[in-house]
Amino acid sequence: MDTKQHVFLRKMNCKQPKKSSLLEAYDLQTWFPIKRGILARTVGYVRAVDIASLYINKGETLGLVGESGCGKTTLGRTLLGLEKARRGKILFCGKNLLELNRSELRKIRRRMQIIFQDPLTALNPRMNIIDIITEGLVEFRLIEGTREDHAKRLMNEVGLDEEAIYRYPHEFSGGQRQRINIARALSLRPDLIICDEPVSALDVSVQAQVINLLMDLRDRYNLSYLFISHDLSVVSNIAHRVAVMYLGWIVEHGPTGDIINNPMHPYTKALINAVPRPDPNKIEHKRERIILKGEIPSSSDPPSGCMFHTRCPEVMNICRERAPLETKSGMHGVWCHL
Amino acid sequence: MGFRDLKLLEVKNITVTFETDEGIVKAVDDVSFHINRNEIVGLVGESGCGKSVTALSILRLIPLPYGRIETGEILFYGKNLLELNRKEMRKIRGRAISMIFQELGSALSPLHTIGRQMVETILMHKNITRKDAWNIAETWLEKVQISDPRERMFAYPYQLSGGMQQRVMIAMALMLGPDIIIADEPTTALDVTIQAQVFELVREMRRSHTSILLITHDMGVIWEMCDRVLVMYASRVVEEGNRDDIFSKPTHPYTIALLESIPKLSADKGRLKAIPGQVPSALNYPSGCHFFDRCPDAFDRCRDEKPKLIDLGNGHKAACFLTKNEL
Repeated sequence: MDTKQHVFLRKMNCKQPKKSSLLEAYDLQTWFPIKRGILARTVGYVRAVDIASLYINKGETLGLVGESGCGKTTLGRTLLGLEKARRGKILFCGKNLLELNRSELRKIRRRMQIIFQDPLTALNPRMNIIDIITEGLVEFRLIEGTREDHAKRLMNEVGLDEEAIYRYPHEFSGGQRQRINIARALSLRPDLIICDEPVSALDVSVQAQVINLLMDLRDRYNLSYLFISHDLSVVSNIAHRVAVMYLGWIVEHGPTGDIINNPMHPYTKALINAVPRPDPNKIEHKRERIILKGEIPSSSDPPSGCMFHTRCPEVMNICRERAPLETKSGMHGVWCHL
Repeated sequence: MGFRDLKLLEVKNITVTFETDEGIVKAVDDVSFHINRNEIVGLVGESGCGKSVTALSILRLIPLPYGRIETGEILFYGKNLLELNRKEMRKIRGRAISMIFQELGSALSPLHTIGRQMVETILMHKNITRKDAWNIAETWLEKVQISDPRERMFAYPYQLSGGMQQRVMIAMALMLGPDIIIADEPTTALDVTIQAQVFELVREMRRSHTSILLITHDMGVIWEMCDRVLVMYASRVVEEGNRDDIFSKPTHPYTIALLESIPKLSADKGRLKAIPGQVPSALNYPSGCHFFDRCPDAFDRCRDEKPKLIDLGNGHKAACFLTKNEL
């Protein structure tokens, strides 16, 4: 894509900032260099996140769905500043995170937390639970009273036995470990929690418990979530709005109901169609199957024009040449020539 | 009995135990089921419930010496597989009953090309020349819709994506025309759009009169693919029946709870009905019904007595004291 087009796109993508927006991101781009040879020269880039704009309001949950390798995790990490964006703007409560210095950033980090996919590797096996969940509090000197009190309060909050604070992570089951991760994320009273596939490592019966817990906490503390998942059914249950990502692009976003019932982008349609779901009443008996051909192209060598044109069932000539612009109707936006 | 009702494989009361440092673990407890010709049977359950071990024991692939099939019979065409010697068993594996594993990475050898692995498998079972075997393998790669099969025969597994590796596995499982394919979570590692492609292939497989035992934890997958369903919980089969019966009138409290706890693809946000507690450890299952401590309807009898599978008609069975016929 040439620069001119890019600048144009950027102008088009800018949404009117909303007053209640907690986090806004415009045209984020995170590329990872590919290095070869003894001089480690950069021979190319993996375009993990190419163009992504989003906003999250206070108390709102934005679901981010996409298949593996589409850049959804990188986008989450970029928002937290764990990966450096090549360009773009991240506004958190009106401040651009990419322009802050270290000490300013540190203050803001307290208000943004993350929950990782694998609950065990996210916990230090040599620290006991009280150390794990009060580490942040100690770091930011927010302890009033004893650490035990804080730890016990947090344990109650996430539905764990408060007597267990001196145990170690390996003594807990998967669901309990994820609760510990949630307790740690909560400890600093953040405004935003980025949940990166928080339930995909858990069994179905435990998955529901953790989703319920996340919803309760959201309502209790007016938390905002960026809920990253490959599983549309999970996202549709918890998110107010959904953004669909494909090969580093957000191709469609809108309120959950609109996305599920009235998907506009051919990729979203295929993604929703591919979700296997029980349907004992046979309402959708005649659901037509959309089978996408081929696989996701490599993000180090993405296709020209629309990223999806290699697999799109409704591809036209223009899709191969030019990247589509956003078409909006209300809160529902889609990047497609159709 | 018609052609379709023929019991191709019958598993009778098998119990599998593993010796661990903490004691003997019963991974599969008195499990019985059968697979008819041209039928897709789904085996669903959470991790650790014994579904994979059940599958492995059919091919006698339980790791020795820690694992043991304690009791039971596995009848294939009326022959007990547990009584065969190693050589006879080898003829069954891959040829008559083949398996698709969940972990693609470890199921294909990283040191050999796809073509070589496929040819080797064919030559094990068929007395043909290497060249013919090569051609058979190539045709099968084409059948599972791998682009440029000729070149791909020389590719190593790492050069292929997850979806393609899974197709190679499927081609290998199919190419000798087995009667039964055991597929252990064949799509769990794949993305949904790729999963949809693999399912399309599996549906085609069925047209060649192959029976499939599909192991999964995903009720959605069961609904899309299977004729009959077995629900396993903590080493036992708790409910069995036709797909429609299981989904429209689930009887065992675990099946009911499992179906209710699945997040639905819809816009209405409500709390999910979660099952309280967690799957008990295999080292200390409750002595009566294994679902006892999580069951909303448990009563005294469930604590000490093991419920048997009760026939509810039309092949629908449930292991619960609360089923109508039992009370």
